[in-house]
Amino acid sequence: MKQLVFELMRESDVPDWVDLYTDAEVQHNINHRGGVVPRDEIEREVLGRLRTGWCDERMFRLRTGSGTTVGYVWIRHIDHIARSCEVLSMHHRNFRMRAGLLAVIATYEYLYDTLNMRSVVHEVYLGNRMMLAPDRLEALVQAVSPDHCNSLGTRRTCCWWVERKPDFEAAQRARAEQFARVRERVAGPL
Amino acid sequence: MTPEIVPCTTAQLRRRLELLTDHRMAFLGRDTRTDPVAMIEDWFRYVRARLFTAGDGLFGVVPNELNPHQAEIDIAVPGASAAEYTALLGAAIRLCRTHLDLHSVVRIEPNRDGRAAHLEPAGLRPIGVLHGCRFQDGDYHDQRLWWGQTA
Repeated sequence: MKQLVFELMRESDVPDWVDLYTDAEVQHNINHRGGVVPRDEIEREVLGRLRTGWCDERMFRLRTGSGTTVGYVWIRHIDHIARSCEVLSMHHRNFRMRAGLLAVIATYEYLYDTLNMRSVVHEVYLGNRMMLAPDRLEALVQAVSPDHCNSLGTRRTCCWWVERKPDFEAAQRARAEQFARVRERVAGPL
Repeated sequence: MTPEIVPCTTAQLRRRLELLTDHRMAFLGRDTRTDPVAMIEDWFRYVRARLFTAGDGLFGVVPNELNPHQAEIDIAVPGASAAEYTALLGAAIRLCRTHLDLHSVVRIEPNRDGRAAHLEPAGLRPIGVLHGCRFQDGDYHDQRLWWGQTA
């Protein structure tokens, strides 16, 4: 399996980050700031986070082994004592389907193993078209606020849920077992 | 008599945060057992919190940057009775409507919360539980959320 490289974002990545952040599909899933805030102001905000916001948030670049940028991960509201955080991922168009799952797994591995987090809080607005099918979202949600986000011309419901490190590890084990079963069915017992 | 919710001065804020620390009460997501008062004050400035005195305690409002008509709120009043909490929170929620043009409020449970029982009589309804949201003292802890309309 090809490995993705998770590395801290650099100031030279900021223009590409803003391009991706203001992409219509990405904006649809988060908010519509890209439609009301000028590009240079967004760039200044990101630079500010990189230079001084590192206590509560970290920004990363995800790339292939050959150096192509897959996307960016923004870890927010890091609580170093409760060992929890929120995560916002965005991937370039070419990597949204094929490498999307790999990118998500690489992100969680980094959060739990390298950053030593124990819980990740997820926040998704209804109408999100990228990450989860509606039935999957419904199964995960633990709390719902009816008017949390005012964007796309409407008040959007916000769904929250928490994934704990043991939940992630159990899902990884299930994935590995499923992969082993498929491999055995295709190749036969070794 | 309607309790007064009054804007908190810098000196009052410091004294009241120290009082919350004495009572080991968390407030607006900040844990007074682990976060120094100066750090909490700095965070309040960063998130542009509006802070008010409420009885002997504090009422706080953190604007939601995604919806100008919603905010996260919290109230912490050391030693207050159930009736005092209900009256103070009712007055605070009315102020959210009349002075801050908020249509709804969200409250996220802080650590070690003994105030939850007083929220529903004041008009907040539970909207869910985040299971294992924080890890502390060697174990996972849940966090409850409440939502309320201001009008």
